[in-house]
Amino acid sequence: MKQILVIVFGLFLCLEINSYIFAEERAFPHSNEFLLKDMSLIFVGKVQKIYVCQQEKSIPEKAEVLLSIKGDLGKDAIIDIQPYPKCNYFEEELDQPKVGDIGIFYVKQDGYGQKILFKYKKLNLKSIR
Amino acid sequence: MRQIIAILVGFLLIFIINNYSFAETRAHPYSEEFLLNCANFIFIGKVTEVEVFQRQHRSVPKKAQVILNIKGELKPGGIIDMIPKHPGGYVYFIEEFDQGKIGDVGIFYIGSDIHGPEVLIKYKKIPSDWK
Repeated sequence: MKQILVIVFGLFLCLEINSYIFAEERAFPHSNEFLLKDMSLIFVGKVQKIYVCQQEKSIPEKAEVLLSIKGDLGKDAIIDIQPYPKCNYFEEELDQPKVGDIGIFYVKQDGYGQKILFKYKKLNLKSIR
Repeated sequence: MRQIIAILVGFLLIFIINNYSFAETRAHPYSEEFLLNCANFIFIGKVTEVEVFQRQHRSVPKKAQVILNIKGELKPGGIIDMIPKHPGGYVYFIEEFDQGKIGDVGIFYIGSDIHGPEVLIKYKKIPSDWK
């Protein structure tokens, strides 16, 4: 009986470790075409809360919808967001967020109902002046 | 014989007048799916020039500077010319258009096979005091 329990526990541990060390190997950032087609939610929103993934890397964890582009989102809706596995983002896909920043969010809802952030770009008016 | 010619000319006239006085008739705004699939360019930009239609009390963006590109090959910082639909002949739904004001930031949907390559088919201002 003890042996069975040890095996089950071992399998559970393997599964957990596997899910934690899983990292998608991508050579390029996701294209705009892919994101437009594959995302369930695209919106312009305001960063409400930040989650620190790794050292010097953070992602928006909560955002307020200002303008919906794709997906059934009401104005002023608050969206909870999960990071991509291991925060594996290209520079082109993630700007460092600050609370109050406005940006465009590309989010995909997975099978468990979690909203995974695929891309966040801050709207920076100063950059075009 | 004269009567037949008169009837034919009448038909021809009706046909020509009908063509010239074309007015868009839609009961609903374009769907999100249609806009994402059919618009040639989608971007977030800043209004730099507007066209004012006094009679219809409508101001529509005519030029905008790209801030963030969403669909199509547009470079941030570039100025994009667009053709406003004439409010006398085209439908302007509240869901599709906000009044254009120079300096405002919003999302632009430009061009489709139905409207033509440079026609502005949707413009919504980003509602915020974030500037």
